[in-house]
Amino acid sequence: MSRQEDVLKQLQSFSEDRPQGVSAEEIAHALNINRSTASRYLNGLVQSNQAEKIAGKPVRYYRRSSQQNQDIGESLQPLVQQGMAALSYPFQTLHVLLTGETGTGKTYLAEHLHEEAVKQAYITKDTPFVTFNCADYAQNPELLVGQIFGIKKGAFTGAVQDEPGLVELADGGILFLDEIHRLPASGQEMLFYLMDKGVYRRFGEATRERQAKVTFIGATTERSDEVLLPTLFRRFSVKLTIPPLRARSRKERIALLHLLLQQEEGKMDTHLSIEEKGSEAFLRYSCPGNIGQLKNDVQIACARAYLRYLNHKDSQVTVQKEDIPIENDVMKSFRPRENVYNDPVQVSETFEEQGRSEEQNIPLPNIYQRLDEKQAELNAVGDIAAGDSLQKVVNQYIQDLTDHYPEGAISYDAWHDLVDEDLLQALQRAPTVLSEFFSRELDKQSLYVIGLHLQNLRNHNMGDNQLLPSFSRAPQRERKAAYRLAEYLEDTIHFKLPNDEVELLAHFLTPEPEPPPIPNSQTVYILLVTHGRATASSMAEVTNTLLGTAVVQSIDMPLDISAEKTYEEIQANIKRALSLQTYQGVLLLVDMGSLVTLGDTFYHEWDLPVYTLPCVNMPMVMEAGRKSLVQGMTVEEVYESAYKAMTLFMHEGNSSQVPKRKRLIATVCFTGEGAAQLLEEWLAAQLTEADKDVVIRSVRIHPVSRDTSILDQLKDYYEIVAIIGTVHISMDEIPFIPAWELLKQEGSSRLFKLLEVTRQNQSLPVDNHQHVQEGYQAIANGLGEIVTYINPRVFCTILDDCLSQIQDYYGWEDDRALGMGMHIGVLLDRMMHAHLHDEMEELQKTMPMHKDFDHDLAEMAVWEPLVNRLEETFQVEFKHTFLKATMKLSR
Amino acid sequence: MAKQSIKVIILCSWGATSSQLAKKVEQAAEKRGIEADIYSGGTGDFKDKAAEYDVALLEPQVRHLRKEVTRIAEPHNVPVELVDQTAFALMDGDKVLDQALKLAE
Repeated sequence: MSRQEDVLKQLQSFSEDRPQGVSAEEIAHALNINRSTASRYLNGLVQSNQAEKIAGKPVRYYRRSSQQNQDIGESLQPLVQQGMAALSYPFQTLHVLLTGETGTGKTYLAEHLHEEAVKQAYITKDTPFVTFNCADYAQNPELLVGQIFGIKKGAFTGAVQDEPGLVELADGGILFLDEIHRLPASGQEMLFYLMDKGVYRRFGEATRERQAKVTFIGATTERSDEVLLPTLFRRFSVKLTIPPLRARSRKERIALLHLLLQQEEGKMDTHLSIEEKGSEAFLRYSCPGNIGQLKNDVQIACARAYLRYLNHKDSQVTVQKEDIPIENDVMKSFRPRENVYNDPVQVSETFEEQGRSEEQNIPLPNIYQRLDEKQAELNAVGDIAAGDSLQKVVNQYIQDLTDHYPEGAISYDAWHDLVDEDLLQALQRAPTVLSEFFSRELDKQSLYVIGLHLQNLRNHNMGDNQLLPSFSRAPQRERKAAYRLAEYLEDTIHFKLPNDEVELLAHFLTPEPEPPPIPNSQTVYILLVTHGRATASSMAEVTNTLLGTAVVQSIDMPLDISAEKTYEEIQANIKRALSLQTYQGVLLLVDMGSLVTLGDTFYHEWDLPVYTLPCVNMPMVMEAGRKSLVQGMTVEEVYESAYKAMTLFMHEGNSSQVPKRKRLIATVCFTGEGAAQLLEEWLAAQLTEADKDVVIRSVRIHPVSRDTSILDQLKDYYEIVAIIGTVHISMDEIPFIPAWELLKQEGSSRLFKLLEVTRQNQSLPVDNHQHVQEGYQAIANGLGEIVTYINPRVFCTILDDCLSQIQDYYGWEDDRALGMGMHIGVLLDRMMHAHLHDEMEELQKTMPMHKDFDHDLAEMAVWEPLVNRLEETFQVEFKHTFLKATMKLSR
Repeated sequence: MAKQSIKVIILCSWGATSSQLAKKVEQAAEKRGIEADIYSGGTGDFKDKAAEYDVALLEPQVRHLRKEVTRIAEPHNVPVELVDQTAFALMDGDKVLDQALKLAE
């Protein structure tokens, strides 16, 4: 024991004037013990975190100070102190925001702050510290928000059970959110709300507020005041900026390099050393990816050195200058990685890789293990070309690391949601490919349309539906260009187009003739009729644009237009069409409601078949449009294939599937807190049982910009029934109801109408006149009819306070709880009666009792608050017999 | 007009709330000149007398017994339903009567 202390003391005294550390030899010499003994003690100190080991030859040690962590670097010390000040502040939760270039060690600093806080006993060891990288789910903001706040069962497709969020895990502790700017505005709002009020909701949860006390450490590479909502930005009381590697002192860089090398050595079963030239190269290159990149580059270098060692070219692992992935000594600029996206397979792998890793700083698969495994495998089969195979492992590893650091964030716009990445990339280069054909610039619009079209073709597995109409051919030049483009697509992304599709493509490239004529070959008249101001016309427009001709006609049915009027309009429309051209049949594509049966009324009207296809979606419209162009197609055949398009679409189960979205009512005002929240509460009380799935969200609208991006995002995940508020917001297809209108009868009836038509499950009986009132006050009226001694309102207020925990305990459905409330009310009334007339004994005898009925203390405790309140309020003893009988009934 | 009297039983656990509701329904029937006998009782008593009724209505606090009650009622061709929640909460005899009449059709 004392020997170890001697070693420690000696190390301490050496360390003061020798920051580069001392070797075991020197310690041994100073203490006059033998070297291996010294080495053993030193390693013991390293194990107990009292000393630090520096990889090299010889291995050196230095004293690890408990107060200051040298490995984190001097330039970070002030930051650590500020961060600690925030975490140790006892009166209020102070949140910390870290900014800095990529790889500067924001995650590291966050972890370090946590460690220090534990060490200095500001927080206990078991205080949660949860790390999460928002970039992992950046492609799916819905899931991202769900990960953080939890998901309510059924919030979206695939949410098959309630999932607690990280906020719940981190309750009472620290939640580190890396790349916090990836949070969508709605998520930032939720975060702000949680910081502010200490409450949050799981994703998809409408009414239940949960509580959590969480200290947030956010991190971002972006300008935080630009990427975060101002409200959220202000919530971070402490903002720390981490300097890039190039701004750090040489001394710090040395310490860092040693630390990283040491970590690598820890993974090997042998010693690791580095040549002087090698370490110099590491210290001098610009390393724009900062510590993150340095770490990767060190790993790559070590892997190469280890490979040499495995191949017995070296007797030990020594990193040489050549191992370092730096192009000579030149300042290496961050390599652009355009090649990454050439190969579609590569892309998806890259994304998966990122998706899988929980946090950026998780080390990649241990390369040494990979190499060892490979070698063992090769030895077993006696492969001669072992070196090559091993080299491949290393190359793959390097590739993995490279992919781990993709250049910047890819900008996402609508295209990316609709069109596969590879197709998109290819099409973006199409103007260059086609430049020999067109002097004019290929406009973005045509590319957009082509992209959507090809994507659609891809989704439908092509091949099956190659029957394209014999439309007139596009001009020679466009056809040539189309074939060139097809060739290009096949070469680059292996996307082969049938010839007639190429001919169709040529039309896309042809300057648009205005207006697109209805093709003469069309024999089936297709009319799309749906609810909404622009739904039908938009869908028709997309289809017509994609197919290049106006094959689908449309009638919009705004909600304020009566069914009769729509009927007349449809009739007139078809009549006009039939007078212009001979059709063999009519196909009505409709969405829901009375439209579904509308077609039947027309059946005998014109002596030609009228088919109706309900529940129409985009692929069906497209398919119907396409098929209707095929010569000789009957209306029945068009109907069939359009119908199949719907089911095909569902079976595919790919990401383009349309999930049944939850409904949402957005309340808006300039603060998101005042009027909007009031409205939110009011609405929650108005919703009937049939509309209990409706989520109500208050949204802040910026007074100047009136930016609706939050609403746009919500729109992607919810079916927005209406926007209600004090700020007029106009969004297509979503009705806006001014707050004042709700005060009038017609205002709320309009809202209820909207709720009714958007209900997914129409089977629930609806009673618009009598909404179930909030809580148990509903039964106050009923009780008032039948009780004599108790005040039903007072009684129901007590139920409101006390019955929900009982309901939770037994897992009652809402209506059963309501019934129980009624039962207890009547029971109490009878008790009062018996009490006054001295008939308690008799009343007790009427209770249905079982002798062997038993209950435990937990069940008893659940009832206690209610029983106490009732006894106190009504001044009557709630006898145990009654309670027991009620418990029995409750189960 | 001269409809046969309809026999309805309203069931709860103890017979207290159901007897009150039965009273309300009876009053409603009287007012409308409908011949109706409304009974009430605990689910325990139902077993022996199921055959006597045309319709059985279950109060929500015993909704978990619905299956059992239905099983007993089925052989006697007595339809079983839960009392409409809102009507129950309001002790709305009219509505419950409507429900019973509809169920008996």
